[in-house]
Amino acid sequence: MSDIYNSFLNTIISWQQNINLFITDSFDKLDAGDSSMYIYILAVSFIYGLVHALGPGHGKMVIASYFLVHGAKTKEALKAGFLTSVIHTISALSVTMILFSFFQHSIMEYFQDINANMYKVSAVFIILIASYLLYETIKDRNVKEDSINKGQVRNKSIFSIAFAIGIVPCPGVMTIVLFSMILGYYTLGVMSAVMMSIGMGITISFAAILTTKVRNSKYKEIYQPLFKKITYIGIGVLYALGFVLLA
Amino acid sequence: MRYLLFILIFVVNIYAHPHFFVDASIDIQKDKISHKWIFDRINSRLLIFDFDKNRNKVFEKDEQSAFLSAHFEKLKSDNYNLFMDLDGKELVADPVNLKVEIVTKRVELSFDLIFKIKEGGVICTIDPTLYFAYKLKDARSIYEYEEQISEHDYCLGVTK
Repeated sequence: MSDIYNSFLNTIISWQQNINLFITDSFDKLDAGDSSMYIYILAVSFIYGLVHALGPGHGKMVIASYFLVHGAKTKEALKAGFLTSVIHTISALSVTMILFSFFQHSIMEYFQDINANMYKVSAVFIILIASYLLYETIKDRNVKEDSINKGQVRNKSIFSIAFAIGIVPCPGVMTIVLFSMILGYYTLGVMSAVMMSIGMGITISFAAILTTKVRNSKYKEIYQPLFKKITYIGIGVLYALGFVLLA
Repeated sequence: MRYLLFILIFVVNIYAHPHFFVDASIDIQKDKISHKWIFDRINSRLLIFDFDKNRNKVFEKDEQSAFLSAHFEKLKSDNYNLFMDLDGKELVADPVNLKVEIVTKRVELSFDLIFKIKEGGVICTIDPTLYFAYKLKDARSIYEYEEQISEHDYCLGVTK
């Protein structure tokens, strides 16, 4: 299992390195006067978003655990995935722009510090969400699955989970935006962030949708006792994520 | 306890992801081990913007100190991302001859570890938080060695 995970991780990191290199070369060509690179950089940013979110991080585990416990419709999982990505990007854009405007030096150091603190805030939210899910699960333990919530998640809950994960600014977005801004391409930097956000949204949504599909599988009646165990495992993973990030 | 530990390691791993892509090189000599970390071009550009305050494309002493304090000293709690099990004991890294340079638009950080290998062992460069991804580009040694390389870390098994 760990071999498969390592192999997957190696592939993702290798792709990211190559994309990183493509972006640098594209900016070199743009600087040399090749304006067709605008489109190319935006396309690569989209792919970078897809691949970047495929790797560890970005709250896929949190969102998957949440939907594993709570259940949802595909549309709601999609909404949660994209909302997470949008908040993740807005958070990075805001922090980067404030740092770039007011602190001309040590931007990366400040970003790292802000990032570390945001992880703590995110951790508190994740623990609160886990506690809420635990309360709901215990409260409904004797109620039949179909009569609980029919897999519906309120917009407020979707926003809560997306906010809890997305509040941590994405370092990938910060890197691309700051790189563009330093070279004087402000609009391109923001547009690249938007393209990255769409790419990340697709990947995060995929994790959320996959979980809801498992949760709402037609075989769930057969595997009902197993699902109950998975529910508690999902809550346990959320608690573990929260406490480790808080430590 | 074993399962708890596994969950914790897994959780840390799934939440982290590489930010700095570093081309690493290592040179094992008779009385020292030299490391060089070359940062990727995007991050190098950001680091140069952050630390080359007078914009002369050279890191002066004070700029080097600021860089090291921000991006290297913080790694001390993780033994500077070095794992060294040499001559039967795990070593605490004490880097010397630290130098930060800008070479062909990339930031290069080099340092030495003063140590004479008597028997052999394992030397790894690995970031447990996965914030740095180290790719071994060049390994040299006066002793025999075997490499184990991934896209984000590497180990050398050295035999004397």
